[in-house]
Amino acid sequence: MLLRKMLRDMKYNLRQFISIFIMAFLASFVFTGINAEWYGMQTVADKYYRETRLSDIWVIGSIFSKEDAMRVKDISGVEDVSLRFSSNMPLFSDNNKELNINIIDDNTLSIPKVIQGSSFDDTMDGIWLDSSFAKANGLEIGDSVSLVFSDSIIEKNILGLIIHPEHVYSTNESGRFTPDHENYGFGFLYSSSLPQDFELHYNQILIELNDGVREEDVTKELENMFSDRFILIINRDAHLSVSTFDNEIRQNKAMGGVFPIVFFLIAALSIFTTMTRITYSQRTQIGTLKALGFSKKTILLHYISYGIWIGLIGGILGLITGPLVIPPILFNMQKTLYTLPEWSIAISPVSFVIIALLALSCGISSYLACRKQLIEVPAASLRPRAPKTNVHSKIEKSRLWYGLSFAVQWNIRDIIRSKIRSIMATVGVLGCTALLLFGLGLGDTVNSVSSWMYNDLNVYEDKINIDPQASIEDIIVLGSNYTGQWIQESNIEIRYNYKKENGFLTVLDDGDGIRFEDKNKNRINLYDEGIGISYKMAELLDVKVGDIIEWRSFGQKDWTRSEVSVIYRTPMGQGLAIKRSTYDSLGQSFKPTSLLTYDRTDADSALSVVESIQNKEVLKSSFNELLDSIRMIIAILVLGAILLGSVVLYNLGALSYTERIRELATLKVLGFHPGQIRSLLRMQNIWLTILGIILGVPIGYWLVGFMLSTMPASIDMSTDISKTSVIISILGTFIVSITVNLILSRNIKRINMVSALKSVE
Amino acid sequence: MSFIEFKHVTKDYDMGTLKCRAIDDISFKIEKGEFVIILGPSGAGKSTLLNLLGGLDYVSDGSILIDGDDITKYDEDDLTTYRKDAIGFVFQFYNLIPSLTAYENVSLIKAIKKDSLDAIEALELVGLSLHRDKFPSQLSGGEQQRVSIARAICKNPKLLLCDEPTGALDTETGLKVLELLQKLSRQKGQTVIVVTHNDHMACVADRVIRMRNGKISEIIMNQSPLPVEEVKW
Repeated sequence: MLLRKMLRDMKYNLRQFISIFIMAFLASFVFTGINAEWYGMQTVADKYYRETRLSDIWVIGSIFSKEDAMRVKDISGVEDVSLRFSSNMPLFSDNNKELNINIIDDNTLSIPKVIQGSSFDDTMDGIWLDSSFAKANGLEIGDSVSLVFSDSIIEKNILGLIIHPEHVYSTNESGRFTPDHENYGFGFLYSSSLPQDFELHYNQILIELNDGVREEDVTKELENMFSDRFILIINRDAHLSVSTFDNEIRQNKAMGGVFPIVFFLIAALSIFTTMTRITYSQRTQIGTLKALGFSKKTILLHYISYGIWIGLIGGILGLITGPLVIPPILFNMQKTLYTLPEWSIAISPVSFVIIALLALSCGISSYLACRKQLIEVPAASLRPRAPKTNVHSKIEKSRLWYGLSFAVQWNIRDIIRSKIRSIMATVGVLGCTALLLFGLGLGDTVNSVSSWMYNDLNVYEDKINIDPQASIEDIIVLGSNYTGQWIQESNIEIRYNYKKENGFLTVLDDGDGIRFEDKNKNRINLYDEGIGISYKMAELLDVKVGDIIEWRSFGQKDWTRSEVSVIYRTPMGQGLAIKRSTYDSLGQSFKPTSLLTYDRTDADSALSVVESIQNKEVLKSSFNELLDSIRMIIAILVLGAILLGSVVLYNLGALSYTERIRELATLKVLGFHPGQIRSLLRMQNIWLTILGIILGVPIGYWLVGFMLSTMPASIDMSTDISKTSVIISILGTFIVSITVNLILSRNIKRINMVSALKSVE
Repeated sequence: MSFIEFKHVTKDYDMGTLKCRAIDDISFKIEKGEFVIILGPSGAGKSTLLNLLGGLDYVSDGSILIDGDDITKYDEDDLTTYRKDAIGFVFQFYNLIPSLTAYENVSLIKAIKKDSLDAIEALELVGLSLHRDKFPSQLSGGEQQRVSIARAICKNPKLLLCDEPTGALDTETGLKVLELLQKLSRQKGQTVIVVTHNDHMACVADRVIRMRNGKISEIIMNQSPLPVEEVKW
């Protein structure tokens, strides 16, 4: 019977319960949807990594022998090792296209997964090619691929199309966010299929660790073992593909967490206000039930069940629809960035816990709301409630009070008397503004990074990358044909005070291809003395101007000491920057890797000295592809914000309307025009909207900052929200608020004075 | 030993700074199967007395014995059980659950008391079996009160307590309700206690307790109570 009472009570308070239901549903929908997306990606990746036995540690050097590999295998904690040769080789037909070619023997680690064609077999002569590259270039099994390596050309037929766990995120160029499958891919060959004269020397050792082995212990052993030469030890956290993918998952996780919290909170708060009102109006019913002999526990459970049912049904419905609707949308944009064997969703146990929590918090809100009514002895609950004692607030006692108009007085009193309702309205508006600003601000921020990086910092037009094999003479010839700035870029290790980071070194010759800015984005120059360090790297290492840091680049054994003379800020490629003259004076020899030209060049990429030409506009557009993917998120956020704002405000409006119906009817009887009553209500609405906006704007800023803090260490972005976005968020919130108010105030005309004032019962 | 025995019962209400004595050292007895009317003007403490008897409130002093048990010694749980098993309540404003139909309001009792009467049977007893599927708002005042009585008797209570059961009804309907209560007492041996301020009702009761200012002014035993049909007021 009590269940029926609940259902009918819900029917009579349909508006309120529907809005609570929507909040609960949305919280669960968004959370479980995003959760299913990243958890699915993680599950697929984990399985993929396990199946293909993705290496735990990569040791990269110049030459490793089979004996080296045997020695590594003997280190305690090492389960298995594989040796391979890995190098980027341009295509003979178009040297802008490049393949990362891995030459293997009977390798067991980091084995590609064959999508199509023959499986791996070392008796077969041919190449297994990146399926994305093949697809982008229209290559099929049986077609031949010619690769340039040193002075020789390797021509092989395609045996199979593959994907590879080290190329989930597959990009070779720094400065490109999105993979370019048309110009970069990978391939695998067996060493037995190489020409006789090919001088094979392994340059990578892949290591699989035993379960539960500490990575640091093995790393230390490796460092000792190869202390005579320069090696780079990369673990999974430092591996570009693995770490980028992990970061993606982390960001999705963060977003999937922040967003529903707002709805979660609102759902709990709305159920609290609604249940307070229901139990308040059902005071006599509670007394009656008590008099009939219902125990306090039964009555309490009855009212708690309102919240639990709503939370549970909304939550479960969200769990069913969220993972079906949200992941496909997000997968669509993830597919442009990552290559996985399959895209499937997975529902993590956390989703079920969250739904239980949702139901529980709705139940607790109901409990808190009706507890008050149950404390009284039954005899007291049966009597009509003593009128609320009105304590005059401070403002009412001040002299100012009498100077205020009736409308202002009425609204101040109303806000003070119904604090929870006012707080909730403010929170709803706040959430609306914050989400709008978060969505728009995120877009602005990424946009501004694009213009910061490509318009303010990298002012060159083309970047001509020079073939590492090119002779000095060839380079000089190139330099005589094009004016520009020579730079040398390399990967380095930086250490300071026992902290060590991998980074990026840029050595700059004279010129104006790359500019520098300080923390506050004011233009600065590198000094002749000392070295510049990027802001994020300086933070990671805890370095200040004047500190002495040590660094060494790939191929070097000895550390170079430099004093930090300047800290500059750059969105990507954190590391060090130094002038050529200073670099030379440190005893290093400058060997340019790129020429930055100020104008669009017509350089022939077929020239042997030229490895590739990157046009800034192309880089920029690849970056803007990232924006497209963010746009989807923005749309979801904006939609959520509008829904949140309108549902909360509508719910509260309807609530305050029923609560004050006698008051409003009285005003009507006294001769107030509906228009006057409407403006009375609108005034309060506007006050609370303004308050919510004032609080919501900083929270929107904070949310963007929070999102950026989940970005990987190599990316330095700062919150940059345009005035337009702020204005749009504020105006949007206002529009939502006023529209809802207009819809609600139509009810005023319909107030029936007689029936509203007739009886208390 | 009497069925109900009040021994020096006092009830104070704490109204902030003001202390208000609603019942002042009352003692009386009621026998099983009696039809009792408690009379008195507003504020005499009638309802308070009924609430104490029904276990809806706590005494400040004294003891109340029901069938030999002192209910003033009961804690909250015991009182709930007591209300559930022993007491049937009828209120002035019926206090039906508006979202439940007549039948559902009565069968609500089934949720707490397994050996309660069948709801249909109870509704038949009050002559409302035809209106069982109507909501309270679709019933007249007298009908609502009869549903409320059905709800009270369907748990077969030791005591049927009625607080101004005719207070919100017109004379005609009020008499019908009273007749029903008297019938229950006469035919089923139900102990019925009715609180009212209507003097005319005194003649139908076995025992009349008059109250004034929290005290009992007199107790009258009616040797030959009138049947309600013969009452005119």
